[in-house]
Amino acid sequence: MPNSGSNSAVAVWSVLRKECRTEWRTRYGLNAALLFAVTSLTAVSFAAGRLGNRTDIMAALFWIVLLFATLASMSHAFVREVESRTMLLLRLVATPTEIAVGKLLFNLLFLCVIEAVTVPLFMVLMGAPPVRWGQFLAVLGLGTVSLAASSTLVGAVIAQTRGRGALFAGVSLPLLLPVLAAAVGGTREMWAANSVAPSLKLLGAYAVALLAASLLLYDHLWED
Amino acid sequence: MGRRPRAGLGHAALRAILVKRDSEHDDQAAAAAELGVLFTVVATVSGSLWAKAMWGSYWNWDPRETSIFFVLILYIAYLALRGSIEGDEKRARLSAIYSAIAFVAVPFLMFVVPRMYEGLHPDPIINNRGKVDMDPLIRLCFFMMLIGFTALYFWLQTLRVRVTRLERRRELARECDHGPQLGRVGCLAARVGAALLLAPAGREAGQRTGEVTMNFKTILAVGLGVAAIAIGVSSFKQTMTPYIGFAEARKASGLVQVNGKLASKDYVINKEEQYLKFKLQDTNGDVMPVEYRGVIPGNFDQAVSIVAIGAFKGDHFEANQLLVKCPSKYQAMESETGGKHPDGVPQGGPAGPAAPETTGVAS
Repeated sequence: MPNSGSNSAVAVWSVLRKECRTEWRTRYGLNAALLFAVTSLTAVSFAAGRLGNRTDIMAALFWIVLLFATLASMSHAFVREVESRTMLLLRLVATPTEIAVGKLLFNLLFLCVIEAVTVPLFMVLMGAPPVRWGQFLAVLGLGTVSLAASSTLVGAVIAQTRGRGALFAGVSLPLLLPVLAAAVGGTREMWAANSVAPSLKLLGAYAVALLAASLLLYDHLWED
Repeated sequence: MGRRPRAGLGHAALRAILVKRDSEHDDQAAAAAELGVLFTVVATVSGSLWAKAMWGSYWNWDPRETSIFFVLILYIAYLALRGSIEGDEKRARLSAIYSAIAFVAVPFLMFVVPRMYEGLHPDPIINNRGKVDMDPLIRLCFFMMLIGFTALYFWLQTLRVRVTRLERRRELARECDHGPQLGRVGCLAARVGAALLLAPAGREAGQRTGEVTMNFKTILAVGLGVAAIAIGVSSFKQTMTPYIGFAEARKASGLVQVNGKLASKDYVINKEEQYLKFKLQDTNGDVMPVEYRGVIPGNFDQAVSIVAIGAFKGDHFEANQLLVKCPSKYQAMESETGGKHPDGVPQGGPAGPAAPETTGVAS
């Protein structure tokens, strides 16, 4: 069934709305993710103390906390469908690409919520020096897009395997290493008052490449 | 050195799976990944031993070391994923998706990210001047190894695929034995026939449904991909600012990496006490005294370029770790005297945008 553009947009929107509604009903995924992020942040803070002037280490720790929170929670968008046996039903009402794009947007939103809690908490607990918000948010935003794109595709694949959640972190990590390298670099430069443009370019290029590849691959996620 | 894991080789086959849905391609991909792990491990271990002998450290996150490590964990993740999927068709499809997305990450892992840092690998092998600048003997060995190991790879690959094919056939035969009294040959023929009939039908149906959206999407995705690679490449050129200058090193509070060459031959070396004192000169001509305590690299006196990791204390740089680069064993003789680019050390910045190696050979 060939879809016109507006139909697809409607389908994507309804998948996104459905995701948000199911999440909001139980808030189980969100609670788990937030708890994990805050716990790992506390662990880091206890272990390293206030790192006031060591902004290079702080940048690394910040992204490791964020990466852990992502790896711990982001597979659930698809795993939940499989566990509640609703995947087939969902596939009846939307094409694979529409489902995947809807879930991608949901994952993006989900990450933003986690970040909204983690970022201020991190800055306070670690005693971070003043942040140049424009540059920081650009790095954070592009990093988030890459994290969400990778987690959506890997999450959809992982939901169909035997191990499900267990394998997610290991399989995602190689894909996220370029993101980690560039994002940590960018954050460090931001605090060192250097130019963040090279890191931003790298992050942007990787995010776009991931999205482009995902868009082609979504069609093959499920066998009819 | 000359061992190159065939990283990208399996990927062509993997993407063929998504389009053609042929289990033979999946067998090829699995065999390529298994051999990839083997070759990568061999290359990593032997390269690491070589690094200990040449640079004085088994592992230093040198660009080539970094990229080969990434490739190794990609292979392992791919095989772990394969192991956890039930059903041949599903395994082929999902692992092909993963390897296609991993294929996107590979150029970034191999070329862009590692190149943000300066490397120690001898640049005569592959360099920005676009020619092989090796000593004739080394060149002979290098290409013999390259051809030999490539041939070995292809031989092992065919063996592996044939074994898989036999296993598949045996499984099929066993299933037929337990099946109804159709006779083994009849059962096999029926299965093969069904597969032949079903495969093209399924493919056509798949194409028809997605045709309209597919075209637009393909164009969009390919365009985005090209743009991404272009941006990635340009960002790699900008990030080639490998080491900090001496002036910055003097001010820095934490550990820093500095790079330069021996300023003069009047260094103090004491192998018993593991003590070394020398003057390091950076590309601006700035000279800084360096003191180092630890195992002294054997080829220190021939060093073309020295990397010191440590901190500036008082009037000198105190190095915790010392890495030396001695490309002379690989370099052709004529380029020793002339035509060699300054210091053998590429710099960042517009004047000398020198990437030491432009393709992923070695490690």
